[in-house]
Amino acid sequence: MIVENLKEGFKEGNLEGRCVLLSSLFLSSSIYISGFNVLISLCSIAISAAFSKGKVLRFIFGFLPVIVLLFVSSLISGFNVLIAFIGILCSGALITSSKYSEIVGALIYFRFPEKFVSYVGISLALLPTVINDLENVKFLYGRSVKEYYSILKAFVAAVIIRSLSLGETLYSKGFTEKIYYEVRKPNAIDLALLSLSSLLFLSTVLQPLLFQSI
Amino acid sequence: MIEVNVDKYVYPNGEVGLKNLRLELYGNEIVIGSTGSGKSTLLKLLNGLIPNFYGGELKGFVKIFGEKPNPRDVAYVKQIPEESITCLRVKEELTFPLIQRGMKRSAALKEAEKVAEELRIGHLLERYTFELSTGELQLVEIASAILSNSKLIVLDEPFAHLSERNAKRIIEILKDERVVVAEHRIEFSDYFERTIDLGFVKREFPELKGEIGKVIHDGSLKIREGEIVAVIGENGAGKTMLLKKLAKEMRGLDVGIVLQNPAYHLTGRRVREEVGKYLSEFELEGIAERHPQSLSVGQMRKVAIAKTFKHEVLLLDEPTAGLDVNFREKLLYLLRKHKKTAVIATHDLKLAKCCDRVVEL
Repeated sequence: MIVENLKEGFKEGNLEGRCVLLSSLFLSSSIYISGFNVLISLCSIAISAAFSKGKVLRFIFGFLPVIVLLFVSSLISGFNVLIAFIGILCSGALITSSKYSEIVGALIYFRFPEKFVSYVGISLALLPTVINDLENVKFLYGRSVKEYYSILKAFVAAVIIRSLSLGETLYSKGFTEKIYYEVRKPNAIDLALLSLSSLLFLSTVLQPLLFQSI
Repeated sequence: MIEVNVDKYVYPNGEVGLKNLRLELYGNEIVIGSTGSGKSTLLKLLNGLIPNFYGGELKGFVKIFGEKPNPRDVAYVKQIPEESITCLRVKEELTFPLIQRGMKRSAALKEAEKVAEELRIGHLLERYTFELSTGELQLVEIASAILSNSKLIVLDEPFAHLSERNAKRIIEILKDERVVVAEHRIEFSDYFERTIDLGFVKREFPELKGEIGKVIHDGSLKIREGEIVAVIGENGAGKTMLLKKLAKEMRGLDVGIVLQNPAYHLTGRRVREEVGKYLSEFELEGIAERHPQSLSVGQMRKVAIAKTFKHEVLLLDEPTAGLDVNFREKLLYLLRKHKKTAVIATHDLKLAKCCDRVVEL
């Protein structure tokens, strides 16, 4: 279930790159600035889930072991931390609701150096491939807890080999730190996402100021 | 002209990669040789990966049309196409070398569409690279190398994962390019102007007849005890999927599967530890103390197959890719000697012909 959800979760969506990137930043910042406020966290989750058509929730299932761990720790630290973490995860996962080439395009649009962006883009592109490796390894070694060590060992070995071969591939293809990217005009739905995220962010930032003035 | 004048190349781990190699290449050569004879090392020398990326000690020189080897002049297609992925979608993967050379996105896309149509992979342009079969990915990587407009294209086992029809189509298209191809499927050597032999000795193995028993599985495929079934078909026909499905269906039996990427199978610290009693039969004594993940792809595949030999039923996905034709004969000999039941997904029609039954998808 975890692998399938991660695999589906990493597939691209149709939202516009710049709007998604800014919204993701606004939503996660709102949670931080509000001091893990439950209402703000829930609003972030709702906005991310609604605009990604539920896709971001797949990540919650994909990161189930981490969520369980956080649930246990939240028994001491409070459930707001758990909800805030899920909120941050959903806000971050919102970037998978756009094409990765548009996310790369958004970073370049916001004047990030192409040298940096090219590495971000390649890392993003390789995530589903790594999930594929995990799926194959899991298929080979089964699902029992006894096989967990073998799965972990084979997966880590596969990832190390993949990273080494990536270096070799980039050299052999004459990589000059340039990357394919796309930028397009946002649609109404993209602007609606950006507006709602901005509103949530502004209300979070302005809330303490309003209380002070009152 | 391409000039190779190497006294010796030693990898950083002390392994000798090449020795006393003097060649003049003109750009339409096929390089043959036994597994571990240095074919991949030669291609990496031409691309500049050796010694610039790998390090090690090189005594001698290589000149590509009078210049030092440089990845911008020499495109390199790797043996395992999954290891060449740099982008999420096929169209981005194809344009990667052009973007690196500073070409504009729209122009690069136009070029990519043209070459993709020529290679009949136009329908793959919008697909994710991680969803393609190994053969389809191999076609994408070859198309990407052609697109790079390099002075020379070097290809490491390009036909290992391709159907005969696709392989011949690629050879036809590569006729317009300067290429050096390292390949174990020596049946393709007639299509190239020159053959460079880095040391290939054909060996003979005794022919054993299989004893086919009762039906042990009747699901996606009917399988009899002791039977060796070959599954063939075009790239993307679903051969790997069938093997995976069979592995799931046959969970009650003693089944072992070897996928196309052998690295997944190797978790031990030493080859000896992985292979156990089959070490000498698979001729792995020379590398018995090596770490399995430090081996060449072909050797890794051999170790993965030997490791799986402890099972009664073997499901093998392209078992001869990256291995010389002697291994093809040897594998069949060992399967019959140990009375194994096997389903082999392959593009190697010579291997398929020697099996008890051929299933075409």
